[in-house]
Amino acid sequence: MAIYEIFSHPELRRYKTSIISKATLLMFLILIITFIPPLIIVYRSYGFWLREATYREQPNVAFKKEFILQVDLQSGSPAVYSTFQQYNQLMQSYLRIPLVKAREDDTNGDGKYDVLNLDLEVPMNVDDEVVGVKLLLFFYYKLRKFSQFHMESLAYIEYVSPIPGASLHIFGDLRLRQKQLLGHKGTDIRFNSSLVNPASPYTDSYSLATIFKNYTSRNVTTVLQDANKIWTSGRGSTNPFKISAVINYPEEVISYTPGFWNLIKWGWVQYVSVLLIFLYIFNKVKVFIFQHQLVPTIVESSLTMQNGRKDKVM
Amino acid sequence: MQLKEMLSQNNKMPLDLVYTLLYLCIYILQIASAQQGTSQNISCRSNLSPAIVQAVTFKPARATTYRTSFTSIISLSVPVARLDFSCHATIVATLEEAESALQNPNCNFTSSTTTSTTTTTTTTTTPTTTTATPTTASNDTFGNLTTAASTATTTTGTTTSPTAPPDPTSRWLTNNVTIPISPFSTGLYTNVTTYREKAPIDIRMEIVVTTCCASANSDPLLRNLKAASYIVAHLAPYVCSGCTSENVTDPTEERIFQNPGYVEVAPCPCDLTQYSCDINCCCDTECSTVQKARFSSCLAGLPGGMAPDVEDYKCSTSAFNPTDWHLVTCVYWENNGYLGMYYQNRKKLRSSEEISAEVKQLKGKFSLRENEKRYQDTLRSNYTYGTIIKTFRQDNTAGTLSLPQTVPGGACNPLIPVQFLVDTISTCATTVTDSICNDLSVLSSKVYANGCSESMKISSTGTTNTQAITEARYYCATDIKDYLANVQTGTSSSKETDITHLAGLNCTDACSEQACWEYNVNKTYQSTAQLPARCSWDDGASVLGPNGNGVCNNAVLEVRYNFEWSGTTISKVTADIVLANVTAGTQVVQKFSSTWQAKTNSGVLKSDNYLNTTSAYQRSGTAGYNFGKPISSGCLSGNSTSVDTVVHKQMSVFLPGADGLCENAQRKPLTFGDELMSACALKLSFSTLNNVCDNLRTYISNQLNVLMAANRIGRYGYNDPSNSSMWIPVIRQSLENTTDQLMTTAAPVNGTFSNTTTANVTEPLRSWANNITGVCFVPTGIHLHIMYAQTGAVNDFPRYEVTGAYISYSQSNWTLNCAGSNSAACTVNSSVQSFYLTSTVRYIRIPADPKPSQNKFYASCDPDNFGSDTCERFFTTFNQGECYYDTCWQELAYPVTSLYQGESRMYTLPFFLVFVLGVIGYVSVARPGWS
Repeated sequence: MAIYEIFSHPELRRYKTSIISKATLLMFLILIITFIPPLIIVYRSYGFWLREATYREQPNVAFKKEFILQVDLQSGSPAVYSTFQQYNQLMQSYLRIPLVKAREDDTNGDGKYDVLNLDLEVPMNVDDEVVGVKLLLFFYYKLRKFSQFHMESLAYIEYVSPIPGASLHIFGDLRLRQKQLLGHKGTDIRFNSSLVNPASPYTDSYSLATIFKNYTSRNVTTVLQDANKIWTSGRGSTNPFKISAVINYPEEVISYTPGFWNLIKWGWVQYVSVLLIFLYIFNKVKVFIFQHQLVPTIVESSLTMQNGRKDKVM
Repeated sequence: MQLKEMLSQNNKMPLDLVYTLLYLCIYILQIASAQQGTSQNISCRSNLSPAIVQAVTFKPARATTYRTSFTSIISLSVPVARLDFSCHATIVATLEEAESALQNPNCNFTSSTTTSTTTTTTTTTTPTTTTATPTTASNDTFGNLTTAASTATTTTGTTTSPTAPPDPTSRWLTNNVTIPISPFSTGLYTNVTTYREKAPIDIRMEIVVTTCCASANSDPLLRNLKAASYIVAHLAPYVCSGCTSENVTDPTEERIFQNPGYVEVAPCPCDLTQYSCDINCCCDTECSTVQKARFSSCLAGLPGGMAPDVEDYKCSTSAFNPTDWHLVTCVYWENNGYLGMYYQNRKKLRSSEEISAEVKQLKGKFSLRENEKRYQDTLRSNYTYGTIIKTFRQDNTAGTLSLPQTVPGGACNPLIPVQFLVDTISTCATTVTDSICNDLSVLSSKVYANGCSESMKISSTGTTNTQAITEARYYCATDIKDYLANVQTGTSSSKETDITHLAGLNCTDACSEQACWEYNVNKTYQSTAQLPARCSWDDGASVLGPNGNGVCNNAVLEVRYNFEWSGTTISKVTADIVLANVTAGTQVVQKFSSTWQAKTNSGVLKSDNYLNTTSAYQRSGTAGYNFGKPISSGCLSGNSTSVDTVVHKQMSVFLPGADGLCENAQRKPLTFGDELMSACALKLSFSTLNNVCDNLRTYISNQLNVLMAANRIGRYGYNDPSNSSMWIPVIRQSLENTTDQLMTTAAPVNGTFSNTTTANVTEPLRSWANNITGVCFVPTGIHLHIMYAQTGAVNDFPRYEVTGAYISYSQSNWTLNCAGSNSAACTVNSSVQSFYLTSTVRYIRIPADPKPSQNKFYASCDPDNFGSDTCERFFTTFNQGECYYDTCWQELAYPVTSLYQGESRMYTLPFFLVFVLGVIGYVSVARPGWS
């Protein structure tokens, strides 16, 4: 007749000892080498604490309708214009008033502007030969998702050509440049200050060098990246000089310092995954040690207890 | 020759002139013409012959050769019916002589042949002479190397005494040339080969002038066409080491290589110098043992005639960095077959027949074949958008209509085809010189569509030779300032602005004051300039090419093609061509444009044809506005019921010139969605600011109000002038009074703001500076705010509607700046200073949805205050687009929401449900954790 297993259940075996004993010491040691080495392993294998994290966000960018324009002429004297009336007043002998056309489009309809189309037409005298353009554009730049980050930022376009030109086309992306991680929460208005004091009566405060000196010292800035500039020559004598810029506001990858609970969560995930292995191994080790009585303990099993009771009965 | 008869009958012109005309009209490359059938009185005035003479050229005209034959190309830049050339080669002594022959080709061949010595030397079969060059062996083969072509014309083939030194000179001969007959079938060029009759026997230099002249049986008009070229031939006898006359007979004969499997093709590659030892070349048999002992080393490998390098796979290799297992896997001994596969001898391909035979052989041998589809603009195809406009001529010759256009980089290409329905506008900088002041340059009105019936005509359909009605109108400009690239003029004005314009008027409602809106007449900017007066000679059929020396008369400065089309046909072409007399050396900017206009189709009446017009009218969008299209604005004044949209009653911004002055500024009309900013300058003096603030204030406010004169703005892309519901009134800020909106807010009840009330408080506008002399409180800018909203969509295309318009003014105190060098300005008879008026247009989009209602949980939160954002994060409405922290509730089940774009929902949702089902099933069966 075939015999088969009809039912099974594990048996509990208790090992008992006094507090000051070899077994206690051993258990204590095993406890330590079960829990501490996983920590050391995950820490020493790099990347235990999540020091930085990234997220993607399309920023809220708005052209402030402020700019400083300098058109260099062959004759040496520039033609300048800005939206700062004080500056215009200072530079009135070189002033050349352009017609400015700006349109920001939300091409994908997500409520955020995606591209700026900017057209400037600088009227020219018949004998003016444009050989260079410097154009500084001011933007509002806002991030909303993690850090509430607000700043005034810049895009700078410079082009110099040996050939007198008729128009300049610029195609580029306004990219965020971080020297520092952003916070994971809170409002960040460190750089929301104006780069140009529009009331300043000093040319120095409108000088591009001063503006950039202040600007580059910021930890978070924007730059016009990968700007493709196309310079065409052959301006009709009465035609204006045309500057046409298409500036995209792309989605950015923003680095930030993760919050405390995020840190703990990722640490825990790593630690526990290693700890489980250690727990398993040292459980086996403990079973081996106590089963073979390598350290003396009092064994109390459900079987032995029943046997004991039997003995007592007998 | 129907045309010839017609012309001679009608005009009674001499036959010569008729010929001239006939040729002219053939030569013009791509010209349209006046209407066929009505071209009875055509006279295409021109001056023909110079163009033709320049058109025959040798390419290259000057060259150097080291061989005894030379082929150059003689080309015509204009097609001719038939032309025969006879050519002749002469030897001249000096380059100066050659140059003068080049300038004035001598067609008198009989006299010039005397310079060519044609003595033939003796013919022997063994070498007889040693030439002056010491290292060369004599060449024995020059004697009877006259080629077959030359034998016919050899005149003095006498034999001299064998003892006399041979004559090293020889004649040069040419092949006679006939220019191909059909001008467009075989091209406009032919080859002229000049060759030496005999091979050279010594080192010498000869200058050979090849002259080609039209033969006497040519057309009388072309009879004096001629061209010349010269070559400098550096000749040397053929040198061959150790050759005998048997194995080298003809230096031009090919060498036959033996099979390299058996014969060493290059036994010693480094042996480069004959009769001399090459240094470090150990295989050079000319090197003695003593010399070889002086070598630093032998050149290694095959170049030195040595054994080749050991291959990398051999065990004996000394290659750098072999693999670790190289010793285990290397080849120790190789017993490959010694004889390999070698390329066969290929004969030189000498003629095009041989080449085509070779190609034929190879056809189909390659698996990679060109099977791409190439763009083919079939000459005869229907016009569709972008198709090139075809031209044709009476002899069925097809062409394309082209117009110079700027190519990237700013250069101008005159050969850009005009495309069907493609509007173009371009400018080209051209320097006018005498050499391009001719009929065939970009300065000539003859190369553009004109009224010459013999020229190229514009095909009406593109497939047939039906001509589109072509009308050329010529305008003679006297003032060419607009077309000059660079002139020295222009002064900046320092005159004070005259502030008496519009004095005594109040233009706040500029629509109702006639004097106000009339101020704008002729000030609106137009992209295309006014055309000058028609030329006096322009009778609708004549064409006048440019001519003149020093001053190029009738040079083309501007060409405007206006095409009228319907369906796939061009019904009419109007060419407006501006001509002027331009001094040579001037750089002009030529303007070219082509515009397409559909033939008005009055049969179909649109529902929005409010004016019941039969002519074409423009909309700014079909329902709402399209971005970038003009904003319609106008005046609704008096008891008129319709809005007057005449251009000087519309909204605009300043468009200042280079001087920036307001009085010279033009008006730039507005376009939808384009935010505009501009300014202009006023020059004011001390006395103006000191005394007449009120006048100044009136002047400025009138200037600003007149600029934005309209009191109505159209709501839609096209508006009915008499339907007032289609027009939005423009609200103006009052300049006399200030209206402050005072906001009174009741105390928060239960933490919410409630009952916000506004009250308008009106009081006269004052400034602290009103009573101070020298300071004027004036409006300095006018700002138009146009509110628009998306009020629907047509086939997903958003429909934008203007919903409101408001004009505000910026005001400030103006005073002279008396600091530093400006201090002189602050005296009574002072110079002027600039002050600026700005004009801006802003577009404000009104969101379609009402703002989401504020959550009531956090009354203490101030949305305007950036200092606190947490309340907003966790309690604001969930329908906001932003997911703060990535912890918003709507993204809790991110993988199965539509926000997740990585996989389609068709994939994610079923799998998610299966997964959930599986978990539930497992839990309910296994019951982990409880029993």
